[in-house]
Amino acid sequence: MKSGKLWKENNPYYGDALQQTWLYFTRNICEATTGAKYDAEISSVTTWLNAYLRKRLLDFRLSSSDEEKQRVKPCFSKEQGPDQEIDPLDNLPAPPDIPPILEITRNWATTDLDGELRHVHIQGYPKVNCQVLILRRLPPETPWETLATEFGLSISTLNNFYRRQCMPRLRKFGESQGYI
Amino acid sequence: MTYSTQEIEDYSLPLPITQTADITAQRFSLQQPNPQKAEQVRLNTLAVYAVNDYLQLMGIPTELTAGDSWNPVMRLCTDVADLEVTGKGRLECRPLKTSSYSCHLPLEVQEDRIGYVLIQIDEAYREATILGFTKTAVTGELHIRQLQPLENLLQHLSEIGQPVQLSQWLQGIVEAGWQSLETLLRPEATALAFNFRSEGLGTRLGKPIDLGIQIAGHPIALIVAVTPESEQRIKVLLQVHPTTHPYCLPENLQLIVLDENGAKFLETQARNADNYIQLEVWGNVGERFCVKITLADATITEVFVF
Repeated sequence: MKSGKLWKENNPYYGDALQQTWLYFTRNICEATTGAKYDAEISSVTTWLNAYLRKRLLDFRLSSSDEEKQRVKPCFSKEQGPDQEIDPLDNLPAPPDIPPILEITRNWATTDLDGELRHVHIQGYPKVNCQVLILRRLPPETPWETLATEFGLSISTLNNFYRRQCMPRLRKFGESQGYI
Repeated sequence: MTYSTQEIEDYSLPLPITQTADITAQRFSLQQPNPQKAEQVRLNTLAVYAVNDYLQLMGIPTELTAGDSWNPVMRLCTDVADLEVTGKGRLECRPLKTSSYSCHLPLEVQEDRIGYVLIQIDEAYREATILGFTKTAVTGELHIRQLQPLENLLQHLSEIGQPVQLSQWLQGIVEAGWQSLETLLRPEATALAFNFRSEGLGTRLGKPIDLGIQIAGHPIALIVAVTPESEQRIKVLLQVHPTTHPYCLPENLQLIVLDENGAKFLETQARNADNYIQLEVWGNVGERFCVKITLADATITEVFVF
């Protein structure tokens, strides 16, 4: 029996193919779950895994070249002639410089349509409300230590309030934005 | 059991960083407003993927996209790397850069977690190495010295059950592991502890609690008494009792109730030579709460549904 190392390649999808191979390994080493059970009479574990790994690498290679073919399919325009190819990707809008999620969240908290964020506050400290804490903890976030000194409250009081009152509201707002 | 830094390599598990993980991590990080935040989100996402891939290998179902780390607003506002393990709870997957030995645990992730996994991200080798895990995080730092081997995570996950359905107890349907008080406590304790009026209507059961070495020589049990208050409302009395001589609880043993969001709701602590500690909660059928029993850095968590 020959022992050896796993097949190695340097390409972007190697990790995915290797992960699929480990999955195949855990599913079929002791009993057949997703494929034929490993048979020590036929090959070493490494040979068995390498055969599977190289098949998966081939799958990735083929599907990525398919995508490539579809992607660079040039668009010809009669007026422009065949030498002026247009890559459809060029027509997609460029990613904006400022990520919108920060602005969306800041606007939501600042506007506070139904006034809920302003009204929910730490008992006895109306100024330390959900709106204030959410805005101050947006990146670049103010450290809890700074907020504690500023408001004259302990870090744990502030953080408990943030966890209990702010995070569920942020979570719900995030869900309404869809998982982008 | 924890292990020394030298032993880490023997126990840890290197996994490939997949292109899928890379692309998602890139996408999430591009949404962030500054380079530091972008880097944090990218590493957090890679760490969550590594643990997800590992649990997939072990046949443990997860919900990759159900956590805060997949919620665009939570990702922006908190430093979060959580992974929902189906029916169990959330694991926090903290990334560690090569040549570091500890990572910071943000305040926002120090509660409501079933464990903390530490993952070394080696981008040069395109490898994510799962170093180990801890059940609890007592301080704001997680050092590799505090880690338990990864196999213990599987054991830990298998011990976390589905939530205990207390309203079902009243119909006589009880989860495995819960015993009658007579088998757990001495008769005096049973009589002393549950002398309440509505006795007869409710159900009282207990379960031995293993807090490991922290509690050697002080075995304890969690006792739960469920009483219906109305059609929809249930009263639950929680007690922690010692089960052997000298029948007193270890000092500073804590009993904590967390609400549905994982926020601390009630807590009590054993003083010197206490016979038992207790808390009482009310809730509507279907509401969830969580009970923690803690001594030093050992914690047992049990999830209940009214």
